[in-house]
Amino acid sequence: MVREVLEIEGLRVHFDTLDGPVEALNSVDLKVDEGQIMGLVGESGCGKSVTSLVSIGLATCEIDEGSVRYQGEELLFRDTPSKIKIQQISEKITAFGVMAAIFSFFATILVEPNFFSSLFLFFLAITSTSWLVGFSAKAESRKHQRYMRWVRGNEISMIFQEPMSALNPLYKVSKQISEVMREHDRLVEAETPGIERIWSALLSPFSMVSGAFSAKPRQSSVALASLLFIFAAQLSGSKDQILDVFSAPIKLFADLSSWLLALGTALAGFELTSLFGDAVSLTLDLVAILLMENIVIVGGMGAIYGYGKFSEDSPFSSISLYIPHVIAAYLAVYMMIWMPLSGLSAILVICALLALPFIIWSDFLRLDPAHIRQVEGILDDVRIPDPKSVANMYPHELSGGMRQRVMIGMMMACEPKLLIADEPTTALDVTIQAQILNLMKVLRDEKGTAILLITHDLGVIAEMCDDVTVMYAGRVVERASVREIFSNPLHAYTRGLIACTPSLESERGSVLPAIPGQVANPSDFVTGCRFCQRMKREGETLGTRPEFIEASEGHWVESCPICLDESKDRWV
Amino acid sequence: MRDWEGGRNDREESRKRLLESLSMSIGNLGRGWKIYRRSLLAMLGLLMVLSVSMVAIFADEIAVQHPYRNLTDTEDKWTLNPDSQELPPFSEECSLRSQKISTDPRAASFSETVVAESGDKVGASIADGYYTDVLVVTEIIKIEDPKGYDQDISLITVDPNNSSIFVLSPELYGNSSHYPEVWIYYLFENSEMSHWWMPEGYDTCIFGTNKEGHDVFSKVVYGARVSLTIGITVATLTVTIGTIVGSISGYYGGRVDEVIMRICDVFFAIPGLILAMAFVAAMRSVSSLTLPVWLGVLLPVLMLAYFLNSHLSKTVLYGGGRVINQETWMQTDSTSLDNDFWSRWAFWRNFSIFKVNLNRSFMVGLLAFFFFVGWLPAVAWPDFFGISHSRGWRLTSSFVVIVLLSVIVLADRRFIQKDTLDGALGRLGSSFDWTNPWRYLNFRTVVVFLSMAILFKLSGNEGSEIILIKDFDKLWQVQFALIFTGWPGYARLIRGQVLYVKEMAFVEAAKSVGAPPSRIMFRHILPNAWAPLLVAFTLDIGGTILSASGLSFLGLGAAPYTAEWGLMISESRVAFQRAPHMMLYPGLAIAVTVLGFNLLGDGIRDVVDPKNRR
Repeated sequence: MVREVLEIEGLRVHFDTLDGPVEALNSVDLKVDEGQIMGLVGESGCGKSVTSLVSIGLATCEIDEGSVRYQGEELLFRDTPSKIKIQQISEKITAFGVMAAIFSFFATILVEPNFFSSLFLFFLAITSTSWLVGFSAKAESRKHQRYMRWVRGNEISMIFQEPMSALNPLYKVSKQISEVMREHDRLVEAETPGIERIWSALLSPFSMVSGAFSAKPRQSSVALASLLFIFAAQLSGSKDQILDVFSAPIKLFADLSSWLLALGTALAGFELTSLFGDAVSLTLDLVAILLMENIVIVGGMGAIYGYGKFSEDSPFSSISLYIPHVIAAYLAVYMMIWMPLSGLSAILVICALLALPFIIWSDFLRLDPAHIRQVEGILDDVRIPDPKSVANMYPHELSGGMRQRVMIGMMMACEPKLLIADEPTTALDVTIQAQILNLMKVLRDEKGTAILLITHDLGVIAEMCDDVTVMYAGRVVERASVREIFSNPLHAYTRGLIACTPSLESERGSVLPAIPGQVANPSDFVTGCRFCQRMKREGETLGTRPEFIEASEGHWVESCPICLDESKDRWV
Repeated sequence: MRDWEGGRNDREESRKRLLESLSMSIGNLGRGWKIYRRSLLAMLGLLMVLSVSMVAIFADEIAVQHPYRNLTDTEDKWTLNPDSQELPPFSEECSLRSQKISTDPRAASFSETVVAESGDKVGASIADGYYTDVLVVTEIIKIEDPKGYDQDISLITVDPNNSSIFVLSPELYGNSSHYPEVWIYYLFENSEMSHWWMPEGYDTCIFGTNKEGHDVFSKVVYGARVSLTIGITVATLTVTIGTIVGSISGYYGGRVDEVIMRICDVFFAIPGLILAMAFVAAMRSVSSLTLPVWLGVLLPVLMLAYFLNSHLSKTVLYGGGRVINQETWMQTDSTSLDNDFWSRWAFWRNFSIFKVNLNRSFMVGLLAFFFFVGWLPAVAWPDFFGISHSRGWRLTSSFVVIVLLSVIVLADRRFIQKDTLDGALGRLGSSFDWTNPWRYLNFRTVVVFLSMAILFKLSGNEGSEIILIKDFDKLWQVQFALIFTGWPGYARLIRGQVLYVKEMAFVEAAKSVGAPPSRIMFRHILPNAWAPLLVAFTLDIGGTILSASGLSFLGLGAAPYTAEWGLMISESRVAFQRAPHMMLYPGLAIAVTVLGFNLLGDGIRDVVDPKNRR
């Protein structure tokens, strides 16, 4: 049994502009059956996108009449007039109350505290009361919004024209797809329960330490021993003596480095570049402090005198690579003994506290392996090669076609019954276009998803669709099966669209026909036949609204006698 | 159903995967560090910020002069030092000290030997209390009587065995023609004031001294604490408030946007500093920041109950687990879509904490009711629960709390994890109707409420208020005033960014798959809009330090003589030409801090930009 997935009837909407209401759609009728690919054709400004947006509840226009039914369930929502009135009034009072409260708060500060503070409380009461009234008056509408959020993604999805910008640049592909599934509760149960993941994240520093021990036992035991030593020194109470002992090697190193400098310049190929002229007094107590790589900074008495570097052929150059690390480690240990225990523990505690949210966040919010496998399955469904690595990529690392595939995968993740594709291939080149269209068709065959394909391109329509709906200027002018449309177009607009499609058979140099003029501005739409309005055939314009009739079995057309007459077509 | 043994392999497998992903995140950190390290300026900024914060943390160790600090008070007080005023850096006179010596044998404070001591200094720990440094006297300069006339230097000598002890000659204190006290001026050395990293003999005033005779170096070091605290606190809070308000304004648009932006206009219409002044002045009488107890109890409980409800609605409704596999979900989905949907939402709709079958606005209404009427129970709180402060009552109520909470734990085990309790617990458990989730949840909510009330009451807060900030001193007032005046700028900034980002296609795409507004706002729009915010934030830390100092200059900020960089600059303004060092070093400190934060922000922005991943 064929069932209608989406059924739009007599939809009439308008946009509120500064020049008054502008009618965008005028009694649009559209039906998409289960598993059907319905094409929606028309030029820009004919209301194709508005129709699709209205049907998923994302349009910003005002809906006057009509109905949009998804599997018989009404998707449009209208509050009762009294509730709308209440909402409007409460909005106004709330806005006024907020402003008045702010002003009286300022007056409390700047002018007089007693009177204006009570005024402030008064306005606060008014504001919150009226806001509450408005809030409760919107209960029905909020419920409907929740329902629509459930419908979107779960039952109806939409693919956009620009694959380049339709993915959030900040999240990985796996994250974006799993977000949708999380929203609609489609993720399988995590392999590791949340509480266990938090625990393992909290314990991960310990497991990392144990891992480090098994990987590099010698270095780790040195690190652990020095940590123990630091705490023993801190707690023993004989810190100063330990520091004295500790500073002896530093002094020794200082002496050594002065020798090193003297010898190095002469023998070992140490090239000293003085920062403050050449007059570096070697008699000073020099300290060589490390910086990066094998550059040694020479200083003493808290001042830096210069820096130097061992030349490449010097025997010291390889040794000096390690010297900085050793010195840094030594100085760190010295520092940690030197600083008071309270400061040390404060630093440790602060570091731990700062790291804690990151540890939990990084681990707990990370996707569970099971979820990643699910995402990879979806990417595999949309024929992405190597889904494992693609799932771990950011959108900017993907090409346009891949992004559109990811987009389709994201929209198909919850297996909706209807996929609205708003010019999905316009921004892609021809080969990719063919691949994407093929993919959509295959998905339709596999999962039985109906597709509403919005496009300018009649070639795409002929390739893809089962049925076609032609829209012009906010109205549906013709609807038939794709074979019928191309073999027997009844309306002049359809014929025009077909005529102006370039074909390979046409002769070189021949002029491609085009429909004269352009789609009228929505504010200039007439009540009569709007294609007649555009064609400007002399004296022949239908002033009354043409009816939408079924000309033959399954072939509906807007019955303007002038437009139906093929002899009156004139293309430029 | 898997048993423990059967699930062991799976658990180990998934734990291994978790560890793998953890090591991957550490790899990401390392990658971020590599990107950050590429930029020399960013490294410089990190170095600056780190060194300034290290200086702030170890100010007590680094500084050579210390403020007089009353341990019950939070403010540091710097006492006037008449010996060394406006001295240039590295001046010899820095180690000059004058000390009053009693020469009257009848006086209680008289002694033949006097120890050369510094002024007050706070001890290393609270237990140490106050102590004075013992100074090593290098040279006695002069001795003066109270009238200011010089006396013979030989009247007082330094003990040859211990060079920090003055020995008074009998001629000085036996002679009744002398005044009962004299002032002795001497040069000293102090082991406490010297550090291994300082040149020998230049310990005391490497940055010179200021008009009050304080060591500028020490004040700059201590000032790092104050300024960093103010700068970071204020900038963080203003950014948070401004971000939330601005993103709401930009995202919802329309009348919400209008109202919020007009409020911002009101703020912009009054100069920020003047508004902050008025705010500080208006807060003069506020000595501590408190919260009514009922609010402190009610809000956490409501939050808890709300999240618990959403948790339980999943666990209870679907029989102790989430939707397990997709096939079963698909089956239920395709066969009875409408029923499934409405049963889900009907469950939510009927599911209120107070078991009232109204929509959620009832809860909001209740909250508002408490807001206006709730002062009554707050005032009568002790009588309401009859809580006294006797020890027996405390013990009893703690016991009650423990019992109540353990009942909750047991009940959860029984009800959610479906454990079977045996023995006495089992009998206890079977006496309660576990089958009705609503009854259970109400019971649970009441229990949590009661235990929290008791705990709050026992937590040591007096009266009907919870004290958030006890010493609401001048610096706190300044911080509040700066937050109060600072957020509209951020709101504007973020609003503009949000207006730009919300038109992007991925926002539309997120909407079309059913993401709720909060997720779109905070997951999709804000992360894409925060790049300029980061720069503004880092810049604003410096700006805040400057405005705080401006308020101090007007007498509304930090108290006079506080070690605060801006205040130090404004105090040294008059003496700029003859003693420029007084202004130079705090200014350099501000410059280094601000520059460091800016460079740090730039570096972080490079790291977080995912386009740097290649």
